[in-house]
Formats: sequence, structure tokens, C-alpha cells
Amino acid sequence: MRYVIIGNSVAAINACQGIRELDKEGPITIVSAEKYYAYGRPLISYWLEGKTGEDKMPYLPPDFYTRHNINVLLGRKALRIHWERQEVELDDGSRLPYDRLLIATGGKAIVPPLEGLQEEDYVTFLNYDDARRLAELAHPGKEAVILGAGPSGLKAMESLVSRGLKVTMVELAPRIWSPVLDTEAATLVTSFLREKGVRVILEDTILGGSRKEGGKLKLNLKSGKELEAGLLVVAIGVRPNVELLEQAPGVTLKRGVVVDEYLNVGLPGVFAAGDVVDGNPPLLPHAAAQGRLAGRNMAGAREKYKGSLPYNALGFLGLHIISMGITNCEPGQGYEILVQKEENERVYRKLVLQNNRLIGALFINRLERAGLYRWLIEEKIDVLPFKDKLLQDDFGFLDLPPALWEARLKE
Amino acid sequence: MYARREYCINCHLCEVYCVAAHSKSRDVWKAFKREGLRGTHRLRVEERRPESLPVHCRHCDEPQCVQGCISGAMVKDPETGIVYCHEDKCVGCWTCVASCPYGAVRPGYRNGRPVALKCDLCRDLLEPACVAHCPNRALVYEGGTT
Repeated sequence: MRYVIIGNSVAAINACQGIRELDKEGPITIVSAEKYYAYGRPLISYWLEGKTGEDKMPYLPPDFYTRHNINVLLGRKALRIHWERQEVELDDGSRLPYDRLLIATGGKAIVPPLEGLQEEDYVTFLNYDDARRLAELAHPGKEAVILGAGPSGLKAMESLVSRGLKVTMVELAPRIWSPVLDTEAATLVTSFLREKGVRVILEDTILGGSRKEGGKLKLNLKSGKELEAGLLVVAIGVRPNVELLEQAPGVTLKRGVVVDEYLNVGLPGVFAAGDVVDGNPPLLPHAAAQGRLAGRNMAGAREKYKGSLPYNALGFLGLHIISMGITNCEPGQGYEILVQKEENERVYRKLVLQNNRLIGALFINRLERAGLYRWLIEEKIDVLPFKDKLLQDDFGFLDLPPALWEARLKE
Repeated sequence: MYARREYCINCHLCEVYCVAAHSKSRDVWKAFKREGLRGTHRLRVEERRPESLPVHCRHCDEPQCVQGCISGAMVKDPETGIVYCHEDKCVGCWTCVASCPYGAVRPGYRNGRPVALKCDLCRDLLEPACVAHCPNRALVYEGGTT
């Protein structure tokens, strides 16, 4: 069995591991447009601020590939797929035949129309090359504008602030990271950012701009405001990178590629995993889980992907957030909401319940045992018997009926 | 490894010896008083008097902390099955803290860096230190990783 994987990030290498659980020999070829061995994308902000080094970027030890008979083609692009011949055509003209193919091409940074600006006028914040470009441009004292105050904009902000830049964030929504933070949480985080010297502009966006003499950018905002910047980062999100599948017979493209419960795209032997998949949250744990299962199914298993709710951990400038499930709802929207706050410590813990089931949890600056709540959510456990204990500081198994956990702790 | 909570006397010595076993000196006094490692235990004893319950990593077959790790620091050793964190590679993003269904990965600090603290079954020792020092044999280790 010959395996070809297009893409070389977390879904791809988890697929390799999944394949090797069942097939120790079939040759695997990874086609990687980037010239780096797989690294966790979220690491780029840590690299940019010097919290991790180049030597620690690779996700797997260097001998992983040789030990597992995996050939990695770095800096090589797949141009098109010849579906009937089962071949991937590469940008050097060569063709790779496959029996099983994985599309793990991830996402592309979304860039809105920016009138008057060219590609060299801004930097996206998705991959290692973006971070390297920023490292060359991000000098202390420079003024940076970041478009988008979601998770990747916030991580870009942290890196730039720690490199000594003056940062302004521009966000179209009425609050930062609005799919996750409710008004109160966003206010808490925004006031923290402002205390750290970050300027936050809400309900506004950048329409375009121009390069002035001396190299600075003049940016025009929707509100009519103008901003001056030495550096512009665009971080408003990603869209699935489905280019290779556009002409594929029998394949449905929505935002991403539609897969069945086995992660098959609708063509025999062709699977997809990670950010390219329609409906999969563009988050690393979900890409890893899909990749692993797709790999096993490529090697002959027939396992169904169950999926899990989006969850995320995000820290910047010393503030830490964990979110899972539905968290941005406000009182009066039909959910039961439990909240614990300690304003001096900037602690905010919020649980969202529906019919005595936990459906979301948001933790700011007190994260201990966050995973327990994720378990309660994923297992749809009835929390009525211990609802009053849920937000106790040392909430744990002893607050739950032993029938829920005793056997699990002895497995 | 599992706990017999009816034998647990809530003494927290497992936590103390966990800290010592993961110190340079491997000495309780030095670990706490010289190396500044107080609070860096990897298992935790839950308390609801008169009940107490030590909770460890279960070294899952499909560990969600490994799946969620953004740096590749969290790994499951394919030979021993032990799930552990390469602390020099960990960047302290705490995705593992959100991932673990047992709440058994702790956000911590060591040597001035944020690191995920979790049980590694004292993989350099013959027997986990918590088990070896439990005064009432509430902790049982039968080899293997669960």
C-alpha cells in the first residue's frame, strides 16, 4: 500500500502515526509546501518572542521519519491530482502514485481587500515563514497595527509587545475574540491589554492605505480614522485550503471539504483531516485527532470520527484563558450561567448549562482542572446533584457521585 | 497504579515525595527549601473530609494531552506507555490542562519557566516515589502504566 499525504502539519503527522499503528511497511510520502519539518503552528508566536528555539520547533524527533519509512518532500507543492490515475502531480513535474491519499492542506490566512496596499505591505500570522518575516521587521519602538483581535491576533500582539513594539489592535466586532469571550470577559481582557500599553480599537476595520515616504504605512479605517504604522499584521482567521479538490469528481466543497464519518471525501482511498475539513474547528487538538483516525482508516481500519467540541487555551502577557464549548452567551439567552469572579486577580470563571448539562466553560487566570469540565461536557453528565460545587476552587472527583469516576480511576 | 481511598489518610506525603523525586537533589528538605519546588507535585490529593483521594495521570491509551500538545513536548513512550512531558520543549500554553479528562495535568512553573506538571511514573526510578512513600499503602503500583 502506497500512502501519499499532502500537507505536513499536525493532521499529516498524526496520520503517519495512525497508519503505522496498523501498517508498519507501506511507504508514506509527505508533500510539504513549507520547507520545514512539521511544527505546531501555534508555536510561531513563542518562537517570535524567544520563548522557544529553532531546535525545539519540530513536533517530532528528527529520526521519526527514517524510523517509520516516511519520505518527506520539503518545499514541494502538489499542483494537481489526477484522480483516475491516482497520481499527485508535483511542481517539479514528477508524479506520485498513491493507493491511499490524505488531503491535509490546512487553511489559508484570510486577507480582506485592502485598497492601495500590496502583499509586501502586510504580514499574515499563520506559519513559520510569517513569523520569520515578522522577526526581520519587528524592531523595538516600531508601531504595529494588527487587524483582528482573535486568538492569532492576540498571540501576534503578545510577540510584538514583548519585542518592544507599540501595538494597536483593530477589531470589527464590538469586543475582542467575540466567538469565545462574552462582554464581561472581553472587557476584563481589554482593560488588561490597555494597562499593558496596547491600544484596542473596536467596531472598526482597515479598508486600505498607502505607503508613505520613509516607508511608513498610512491606514484608512472604516470610521474615517487614520492610523500610522511601521508594520501591519493581518490576523482575521483562516479558510480551508481546498484548491486541489476543486475539480475532484464526487467531492463536495462547502467552506471546507465535506467528509463522511470515516473522513473519506467521497472518492475511494481519499481522506481529509484537519483545518481543510468542513466544520472541523481550526484548532490543533481537533486536527491531531482527525489525522490519527484518518491514518488508521487509510491503513484499513473502519473507525468513525466522533469529534469533540472546540476547545482552546490561549495565554498572552501573563493572562491565561481556557475555553470549551459555548462560552460567549449573555444572561437572558436561555442558558443557565454560573460565574465566579475575583476582580483583583482578574479571575473569571463561567459555566454554561442547559437542562443541567454543562455545554461550555470559560476560565480566565484560574485554570486548574479545566479538563474535568471538558469531560463533564463531552460525556453530557447530569450536574444537578453537584451543581453548587462546580465552581468551588478545589472542585474534583470527590464532589461527584463515585459511580461516575471510581471505576475509571482503577482501570 | 491506582489509589485505595479507604486507606488514604490525607497526609499528602505522596505529593511531598513526588516533588522530591522530580528535584535535582531528590531530597525532600533541599527540594522544598533550596530548589524552590514547593507546589510542583504532579499528583494531587483531593480533600472532602473525612474523604481524601489521590488523583494521578492514567497514562491513557489515546492521551488527549498528547493529542492537544502544540509543541510536541507531551509524548507517550511507545515502549513503556508512559505519558510524560519534555519540560524543555513545553511552552506553557496549557492546552493539556484543558485536554485531560482527569484534570491530572497541572499548570506549573519550574526553573523560571512555565511547564505542564504531570505524573511520569518516576520513569527513572524502580517504583514511583508516591507509592514507595505512602505510609498506609493507599497507593498501589502493579507495573504497567495504568
